Amino acid sequence: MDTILNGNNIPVLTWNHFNVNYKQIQLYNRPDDKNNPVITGDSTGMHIKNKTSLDNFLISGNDAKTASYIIANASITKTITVNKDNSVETPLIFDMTLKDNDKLTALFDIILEENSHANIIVSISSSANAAGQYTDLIRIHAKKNSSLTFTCLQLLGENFLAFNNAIAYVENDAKVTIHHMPLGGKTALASALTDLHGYKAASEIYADYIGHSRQDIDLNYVTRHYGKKGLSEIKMTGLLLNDSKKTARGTLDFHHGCKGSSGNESENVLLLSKTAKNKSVPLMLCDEDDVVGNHGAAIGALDEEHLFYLQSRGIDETSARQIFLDSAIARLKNLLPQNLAAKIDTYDKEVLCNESL
Amino acid sequence: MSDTTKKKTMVADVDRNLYDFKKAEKDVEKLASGLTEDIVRQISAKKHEPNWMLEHRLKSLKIYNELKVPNWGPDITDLDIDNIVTYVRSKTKMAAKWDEVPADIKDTFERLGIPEAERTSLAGVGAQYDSELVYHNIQDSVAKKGVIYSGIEEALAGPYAEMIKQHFMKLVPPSDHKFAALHGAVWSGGSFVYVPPYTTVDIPLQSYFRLNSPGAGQFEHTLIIVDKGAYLHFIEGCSAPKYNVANLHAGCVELFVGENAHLRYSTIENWSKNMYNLNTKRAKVERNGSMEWISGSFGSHVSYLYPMTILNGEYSKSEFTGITFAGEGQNLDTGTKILHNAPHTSSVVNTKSLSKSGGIGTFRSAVTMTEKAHKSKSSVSCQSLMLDDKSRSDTIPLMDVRCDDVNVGHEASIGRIDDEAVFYLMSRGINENEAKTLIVNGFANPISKELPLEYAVEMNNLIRLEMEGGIG
Amino acid sequence: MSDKLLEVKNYSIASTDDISILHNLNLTINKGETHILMGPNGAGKSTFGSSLLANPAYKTTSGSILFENEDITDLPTDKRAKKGIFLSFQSPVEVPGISLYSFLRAASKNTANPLKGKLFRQKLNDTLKNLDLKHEYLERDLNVGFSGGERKKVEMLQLLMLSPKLAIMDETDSGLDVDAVNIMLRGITEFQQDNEKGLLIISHNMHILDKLKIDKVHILVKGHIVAEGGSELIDEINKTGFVRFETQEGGNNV
Ligand SMILES: Nc1ncnc2c1ncn2[C@@H]1O[C@H](COP(=O)(O)OP(=O)(O)OP(=O)(O)O)[C@@H](O)[C@H]1O
Ligand SMILES: [Mg+2]
Repeated sequence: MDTILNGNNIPVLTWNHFNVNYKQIQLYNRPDDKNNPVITGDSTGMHIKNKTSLDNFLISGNDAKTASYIIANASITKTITVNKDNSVETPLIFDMTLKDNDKLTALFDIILEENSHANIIVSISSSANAAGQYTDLIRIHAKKNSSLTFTCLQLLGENFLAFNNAIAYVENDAKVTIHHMPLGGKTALASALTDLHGYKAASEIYADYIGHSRQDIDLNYVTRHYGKKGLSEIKMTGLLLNDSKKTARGTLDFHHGCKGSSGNESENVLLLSKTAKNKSVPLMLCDEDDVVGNHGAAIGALDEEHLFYLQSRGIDETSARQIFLDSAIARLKNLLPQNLAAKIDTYDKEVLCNESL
Repeated sequence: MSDTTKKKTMVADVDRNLYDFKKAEKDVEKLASGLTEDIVRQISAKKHEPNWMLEHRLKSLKIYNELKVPNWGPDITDLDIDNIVTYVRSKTKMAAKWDEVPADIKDTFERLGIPEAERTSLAGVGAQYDSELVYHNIQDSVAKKGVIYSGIEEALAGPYAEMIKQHFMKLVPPSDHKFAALHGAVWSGGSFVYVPPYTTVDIPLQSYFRLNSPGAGQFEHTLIIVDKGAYLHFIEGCSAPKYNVANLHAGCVELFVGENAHLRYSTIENWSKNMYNLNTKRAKVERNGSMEWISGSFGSHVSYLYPMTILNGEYSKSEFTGITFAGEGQNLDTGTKILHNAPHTSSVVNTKSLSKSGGIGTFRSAVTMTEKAHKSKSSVSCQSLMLDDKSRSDTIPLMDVRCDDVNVGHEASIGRIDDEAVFYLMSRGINENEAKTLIVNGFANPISKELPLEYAVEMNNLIRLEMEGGIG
Repeated sequence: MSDKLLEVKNYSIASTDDISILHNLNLTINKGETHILMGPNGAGKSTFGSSLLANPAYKTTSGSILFENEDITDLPTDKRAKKGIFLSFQSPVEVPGISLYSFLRAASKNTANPLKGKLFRQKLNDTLKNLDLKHEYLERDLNVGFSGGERKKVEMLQLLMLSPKLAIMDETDSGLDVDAVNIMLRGITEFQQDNEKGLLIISHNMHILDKLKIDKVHILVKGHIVAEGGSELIDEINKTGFVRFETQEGGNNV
């Protein structure tokens, strides 16, 4: 028997016939296949154990059912505690490689003690045409004046279902940056929720995707402002090729009392195929007057003015499309350490090579 | 503080007084509460309408019973449909001369300034009191051009019956949502307008709706057909006195804009604050035609209101300009839907929303670009202003894009009155309240300048009155 | 010296919504020449410059454009650029999603003598240094968030990297600081050394016009060329402004 659940629930419902209120998925109930994450990079001043710690976490995610599925199924459980006052620039990398038909569930707790700073990357990949299922939940507790950059690189095969979840509780003067790169999989879901409880707590959520072939990408990002003078940013950027489709929900939720907070949400979608489909739902919920909230979305083909500029330098339309794709790939590579950047090159060669522009 | 609170209450009373006078219910016959096949048949029988209409009503009733209330949007559990007396009818005939309108109804409309407006600036006027039209008139010069403006029930018995049959609830089918089905079953009253090809109606036509009976529903149907190359400006005004029981308004507006035609549809909705306003409005625009909506929502307890434009012909256009002011006890969910279903279509949406004294304002929209919408463009901009920290403002836009060579843009912002702007004005000797009122009026101005003059004045007065008690 | 580079004949332009902007222009730039186009704000200078690269915002209502004696009137933008026409935009466009580096790479592939790998990088590094532009800018999205002056420098960077045959410079100097203007002047002077190339400079800045070798000046007022001459015209405008020409507009110069 499989578990059928509604993931990526939007915080406030809208018209049902647009099919954006949630994404229904079917998940295996069989046990996980064995996997040993390869841990590299800098773990000075950090504590890693193979057990969870945030079992009574202060918040639950966007979907309680997804969270309980992952908690019940997780065969990889880890806690990474970053010691007080400890600051590490170079990333700590958890690299998981899945085989064809694997099922894997991971649950990571990341605790940043006061005044600590860390950079953590989780990378999940498989061969280009593999099938299987990968789900994870990353719970982040950022204590006073700490900061975390968390990156999730998902490069699973073309028949995978992937669902990356991150939730963060952010205290005074702390900042959490979550960067999702849901690049692989047939169905790629990604969700993050940041709860800004502290004074001047901040979060940034970035999602970058390259929809290709018949990929179905489904995103759900929420930032909830509770503390005063919070600062948030949600930014989704991507391009859609071929028959890919993408749904993006982004929500800035200003709760009563979050005075002086400011949030910004933006989305940019470049449609590079006649048959690609895009849905965007950028929500702004506001129960407080002393806030500034902005969102903007731009969806479409290459802009005529942009195209003119490029053409005035001799670049024809097809090449223009290619540079947009190349630039997107180059940008992602720049954000990653060399060995992971190399995986993106492989993805570019093996997966994106067949895309018509 | 207590001083200002007191003043605020007083002001709110004065404000509502204009609309809040009630008329004793005399000479009325009411049908039993609740909605049954029997009631629907009775309504139909009284109207001596064609048989297809009865069938339509019964089919709608069936759909109504099958559909659920929406699981999104403001809570309407307090609206118990069995308590709504769906049909209230004044025992009067429709008049074409103002003098023939019964005195108390006439008095109502006179106090609302309707005949005055007709004399001065309108080409025709219709007035609906509860479930029936009580007055309908069109200026001779306009009628001579072949423009039809009459009660829709009356028109169903006349030469335009076939045209009505072809269009009636074709844009908003009863299956659209539960309240469209309710409308289909119990609709009553409303106007029919037909503007012949290449005819320009220079001055606006206006319909005014008034709901007087407590616990009643108003289900008027407006059908407007603007033929090829024609132009029309239609104004709709609504109000009701306040009762303690819920009133329901589930009207339906269907607008057909022909090739190269242009329709401007303005509404100022100021229902009383016990009204459930679940109104459905929809326009379909043919090649090169254009549809303009101006929509001001001030009244009602709960509103679900999203005028929709279907851009069905190449180069057709839609422009939506809206303002919503949600005050105490109000939950106003408003916005628009646009369906781009042909190449080179364009839409522009501009909305402003204000929330105050615990009011909840929600902007909700959906822009769809179908596979046929090549080279189409849409831009949506919505701004919300929070006037205190007790109120709420949500923005829920949606974009569904299924075509690549299009351009869809959306921008929204939320915030309160800019302190620096207040400071700037105060540094020029303007007091704080005045400064804030000026800023709020400035915020609303792009919308109010689109309104007919008397409505613009009314809107500015409404804002001024609401602001007088001080903010936050 | 009399080899024609660009020849514009009886050329009229309107916006796509039929507002006519340029009326019956005639202008010839020979190889090795530098021409100046002047005129009051709104005269149509930028429109002219960008219509030479077939900006889709405009349509040609009459006349033709020859480049090296070949009729290019119907050629689309990228084909004209490949032939060696370059426009430095008055307001360079922000293009999110494309890094400056990948853009330069792609554009340089389309030039007559594209530089390969190492040579390209070398020239790029040198030019960046000359223009006092930071290397990091290459990773940023094209023009996005660049200051006004930086954008103009990036236009110069492209001009120098792509070395076209005809460069149209639309107020490239405006918004630049003193040092940057001098850098630009050096760039232009270098460009002028090659007598196969031509320049059309749109500028209001008398200071830079003083320092350049100039072959011809055209005065554009309300979409008409109302006067032509040598650099003495610049001095006149410097003293009396465009007034004399404005009254002349609509006369029989059309
Ligand atoms: N796409 C367009 N549609 C309509 N009018 C246009 C369009 N583009 C330019 N114009 C108008 O044409 C005129 C010429 O504009 P242009 O930008 O070419 O002037 P300019 O000479 O470059 O001025 P400046 O010195 O200020 O840069 C202006 O009045 C401008 O508003
Ligand atoms: Mg210019």
